[in-house]
Amino acid sequence: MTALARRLWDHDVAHAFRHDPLAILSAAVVLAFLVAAVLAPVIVPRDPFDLRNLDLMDSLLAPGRDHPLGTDDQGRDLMAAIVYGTRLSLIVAVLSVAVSLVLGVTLGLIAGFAGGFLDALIMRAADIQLSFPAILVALLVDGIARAALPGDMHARFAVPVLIAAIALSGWVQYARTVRGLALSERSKDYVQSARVSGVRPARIARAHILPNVTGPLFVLATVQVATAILTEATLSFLGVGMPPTSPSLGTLVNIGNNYLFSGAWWIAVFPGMALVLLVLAVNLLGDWLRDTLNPRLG
Amino acid sequence: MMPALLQARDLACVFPLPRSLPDRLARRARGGVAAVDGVSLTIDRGETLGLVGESGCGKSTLARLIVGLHRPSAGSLAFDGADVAPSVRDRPAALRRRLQMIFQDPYASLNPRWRVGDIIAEPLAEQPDAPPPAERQARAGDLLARVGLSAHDARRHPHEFSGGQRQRIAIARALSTQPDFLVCDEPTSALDVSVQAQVLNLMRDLQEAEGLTYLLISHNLAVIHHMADRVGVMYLGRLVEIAPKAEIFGRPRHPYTRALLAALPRMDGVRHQRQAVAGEVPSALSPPSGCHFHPRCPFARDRCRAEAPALTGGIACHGVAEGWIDA
Amino acid sequence: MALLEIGDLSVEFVTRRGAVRALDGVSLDIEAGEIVGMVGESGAGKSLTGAAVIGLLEPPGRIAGGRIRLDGRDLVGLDEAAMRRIRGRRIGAIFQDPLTALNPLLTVGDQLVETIVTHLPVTHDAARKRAIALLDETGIPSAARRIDHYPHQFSGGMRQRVVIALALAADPQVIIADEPTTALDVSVQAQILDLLRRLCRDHRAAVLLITHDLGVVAETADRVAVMYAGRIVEAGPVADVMARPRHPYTAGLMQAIPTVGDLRPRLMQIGGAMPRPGAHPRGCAFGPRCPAMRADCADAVPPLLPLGASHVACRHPALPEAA
Repeated sequence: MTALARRLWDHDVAHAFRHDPLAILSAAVVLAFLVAAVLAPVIVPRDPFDLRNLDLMDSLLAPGRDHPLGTDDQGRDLMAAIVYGTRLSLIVAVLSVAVSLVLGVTLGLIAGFAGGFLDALIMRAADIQLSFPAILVALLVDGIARAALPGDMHARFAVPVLIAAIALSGWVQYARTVRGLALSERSKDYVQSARVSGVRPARIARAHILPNVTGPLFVLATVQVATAILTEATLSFLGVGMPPTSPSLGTLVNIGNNYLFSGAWWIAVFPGMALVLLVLAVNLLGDWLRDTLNPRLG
Repeated sequence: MMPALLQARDLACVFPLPRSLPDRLARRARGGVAAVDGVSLTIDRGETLGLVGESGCGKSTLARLIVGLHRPSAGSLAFDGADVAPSVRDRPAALRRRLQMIFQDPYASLNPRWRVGDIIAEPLAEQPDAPPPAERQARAGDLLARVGLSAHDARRHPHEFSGGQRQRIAIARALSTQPDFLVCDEPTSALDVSVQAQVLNLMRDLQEAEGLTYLLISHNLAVIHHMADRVGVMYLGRLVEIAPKAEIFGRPRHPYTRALLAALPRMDGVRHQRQAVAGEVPSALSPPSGCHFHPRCPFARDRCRAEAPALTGGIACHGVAEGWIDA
Repeated sequence: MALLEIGDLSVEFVTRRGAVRALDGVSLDIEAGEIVGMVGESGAGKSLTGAAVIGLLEPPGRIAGGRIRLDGRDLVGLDEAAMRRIRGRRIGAIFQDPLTALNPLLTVGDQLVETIVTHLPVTHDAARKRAIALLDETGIPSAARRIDHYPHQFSGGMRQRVVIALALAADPQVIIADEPTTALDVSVQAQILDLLRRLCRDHRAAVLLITHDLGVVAETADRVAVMYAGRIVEAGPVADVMARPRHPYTAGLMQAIPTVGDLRPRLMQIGGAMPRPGAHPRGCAFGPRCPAMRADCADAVPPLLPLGASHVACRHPALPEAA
């Protein structure tokens, strides 16, 4: 075990990390957010989303001793709301990236490996989707879900619908990347050798090509998490994401928007800062990863 | 007399060119590159047939046709007397077992993510009567030992090995199903000279021990001279001469074969006056009419421009067949 | 004084694990009008030597010591601006892949004229005339017409002729040719080598011909230097070295190469592999693989010493046969 640990520590990537203060800092920030999100029930014992814990008398309190970041219009302690909101944002972002990864990689693999008509079909679908802004696609999916689901189910299915919306708006990146890589791997001799041995195409795609195209995906997914967080925040800000009863960071900013110039500025500012910090840290980490791993991908 | 192990009749492979939209609307016939243009040859059990030629001659495409990686656009193949389906997917497992291939680039022919043991055992795993995984790994270990590596190497990944070692691994993989026939496409071209010697010796030893038949493809005449029993010379998709080694190298008849041999650098330091052939191999997109070699042939006549010579008596040349080239 | 003098050149790569020596004390002289072949297997350091002379060593590689004297002037330590003036004007380069050596977006004429005008004080018209003359000299038919063609309109062998013309454009004193014929067919290779030999004689250039192919060296070079693990192990007139190799590695190489006419059933193989930079054994780098190794071979690196008409770096070289 220690031999493995030593090898990981000595690894080029680990070494570059240890010597790059920005990478360490952004990783620390992301880690802090992650820990806060995972340990939310421990850090904030009183669930701010549980309506029973709220007292309207506590609403719109400025930052002070009892509530370091103030309270929002429903009496929620803002710090607690930010912690729980981060948790929601991260869950939605990570899950949606995971779903769009699976979707994109599968479609990209089929397109690149099978070629021909399937390739054309999938790529045209990708092109069509790319001509719409991602937000619009997410809005579209969300709108369809709202129309399909009866009103009282909206809140309950908010998270899955949000995940589906963001996932569907983001698969194209992965599909294109994987398709390009699959195309170039397809002509390599180890694939030809498998064909000579009679291996079926589906198995070649899964067992031979897939392991060799996943490299760049790691970096891509990391950066996409930041995009997903922002997309979710935007949707929530627009009022079609997480509802105010279980607000994510974007929802909080939306709520606070109304109070921005009329006094309770902290409701928008603090969640906004948290959002910016989180997205910035994830982006920096993703950029650093890409630069470090780049020569190895070549 | 035993039938030849492999028999190719008039094999052709034309790669179609994409048509522009106007051409497509006008329904013009699709142009194509005839990578292999009517090649017939036989390979006997236990022998090594060397196929030599310069770029664009079609030797690699021919290899892939034989192994079933490309479909021929014409012609037929027979293995051990029985007709063979053109595409490898349509071939029975029993045939795939007996016909294996070694590729040129040792860095691209092994999946970088797989362990060496799995790479070697893969052809075996694809057989319907494949032994269980434990036994397959044991066999992989044996094969590694046979090609001069260690059984422990089965756990490692390709990037931990040098080019020559990787080629040995590729050979071990080809041997895993105990084949009769190996198609070797430039097996040593990417290797250093001293490593090449190791791999060629290994191939020789294996051939003797296992009774293998080789189709050896190379642009390196010296390697062909060392390994082959018979040699076929290809030019722009056609076989121009095919004969036992001693005749090809001792008494080459076709003008192209002679030019090739004359162009070989000599190691003895003697600066001989070369009858270097002029020009270069023309593009396969628009091959010369008639005999493909006529623009560069010092003996060419009108007949050569008009009509492609047939392969008779091991040579495809009007001049030699009709006696006006002193062969 | 030779036109190009490489003296005790060392090149190292700085990695985070320390500096690794890839070239160790390489010394070689090339006279004007002479072609010296540098042979070795991959990793021996021959391309590095060429890159060092042209001044195109990629970091983390750097010159760690020694001299490279061109016409008496030391090139080591010159700044980039000075080196750029020398490159092209005094040193021409021919690389392996004609496809990437030429800019696909510029006509052949544009590239030639650009090089000429950069280094020689001539007008644009004069440069164009010179370019046509160069293309003619390298055997490109209808040079006056083809000068306005793009690289993709030339075949492989023709492209390499253009690359040679480009290398000769500013009339350099030294030419570094790194595997100039490896990417070409055998029949074209012969033509290009003949051309190279003729041109270098006519222009009185000193040529360093780097290749892994001993046949190319046998045909084209006057002298040859055999490289192994970053050092020269044998150097001398081509005919001598090839006919009577003194160093066991050279002898082993000659035996390992198949040749037409050689009917041995097995090629002699040298067991093992060349040590990577940084992983050299003590003493002679070839020792562990050498059939003639003795105890004192591991004591220290054998120096390159004269032996007959050649130089050999071996404590127990094969002695000249009795006549």
